[in-house]
Amino acid sequence: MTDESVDPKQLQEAILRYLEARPPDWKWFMGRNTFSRDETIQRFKKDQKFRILVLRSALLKAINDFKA
Amino acid sequence: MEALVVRPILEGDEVSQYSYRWAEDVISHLKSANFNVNDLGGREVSKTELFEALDSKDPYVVVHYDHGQEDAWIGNRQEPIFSMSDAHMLSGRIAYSMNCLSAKKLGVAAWREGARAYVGYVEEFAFTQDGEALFREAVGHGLYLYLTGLTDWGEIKRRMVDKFNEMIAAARDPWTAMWLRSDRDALRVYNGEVPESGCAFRRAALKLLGPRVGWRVGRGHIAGFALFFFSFGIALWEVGGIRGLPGGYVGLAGMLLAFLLMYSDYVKRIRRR
Repeated sequence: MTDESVDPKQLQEAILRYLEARPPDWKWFMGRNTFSRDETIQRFKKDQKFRILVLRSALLKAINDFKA
Repeated sequence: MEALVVRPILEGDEVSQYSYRWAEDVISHLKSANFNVNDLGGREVSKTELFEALDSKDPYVVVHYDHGQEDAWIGNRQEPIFSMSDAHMLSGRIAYSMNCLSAKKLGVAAWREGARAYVGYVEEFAFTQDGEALFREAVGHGLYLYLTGLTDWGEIKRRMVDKFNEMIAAARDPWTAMWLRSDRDALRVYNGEVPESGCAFRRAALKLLGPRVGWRVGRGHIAGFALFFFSFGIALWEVGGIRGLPGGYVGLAGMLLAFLLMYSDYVKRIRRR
């Protein structure tokens, strides 16, 4: 990979690194679910539906930033 | 004026403890605007309790801060406390909710039944512990605007979106900003905007009759209307005879069936009221 090339998987890796850097008591909520740091990491790695939801939200947020 | 704030806490459920606290802001806004607030919550709430509160106090503003689903509000672990068949009870009232998903079906039903406004979300509501204050401020902003004199729900929606944008800009971490964006786009304020429909017949009715009437027309009416014109065509051109019976009679029978369909839809609507 050259310096200029961008792999879409880089976003996935960046999110994973971000989650791993959260403090142990970090948590967030969606619907009826409470997600701890470790649970979020596990689901992000193993649950494709969840991973797509997060990646989609991250992309929409990036699009939003350019629209603003 | 009367207001009803429903803010149940489900046993062992952390999210409803947050929504309970967030509803404090709404109660404070309502009291500042001289509303008598009936505060129902801090524990699981039953359907009977909610209905008694609606009947006895006749609140102008009804607030629900807890879990929700596309077609209902949640208040306990046994049964939904307010569902589609109860939507007519919001007629003439303002419904302000912070629950997940309920603007998708229940909100539309309430709006169709004549609710003055329905504020809610069409996706699961997400928030972070770190950014709690930002989410809390954004969700209560619409009612605050209304209670401080703004009555145009379209403008209230625009200003709520602005508030979410302000909170997104203030967020210190991308995870918080990401879910604030998600909640912002899931926000619906009916009366300030017209609900969307995936049904082709409904979309046609909306184009022909306009948003208010187009959404009020029941499914039985739409089906009856379509059947009437189809049958009228059969009767007019004398086509589609069945087993020796001329098409004219088939068309006539279709028109009668269409009339009965529309009539039963009308009667159902009257009975609900």
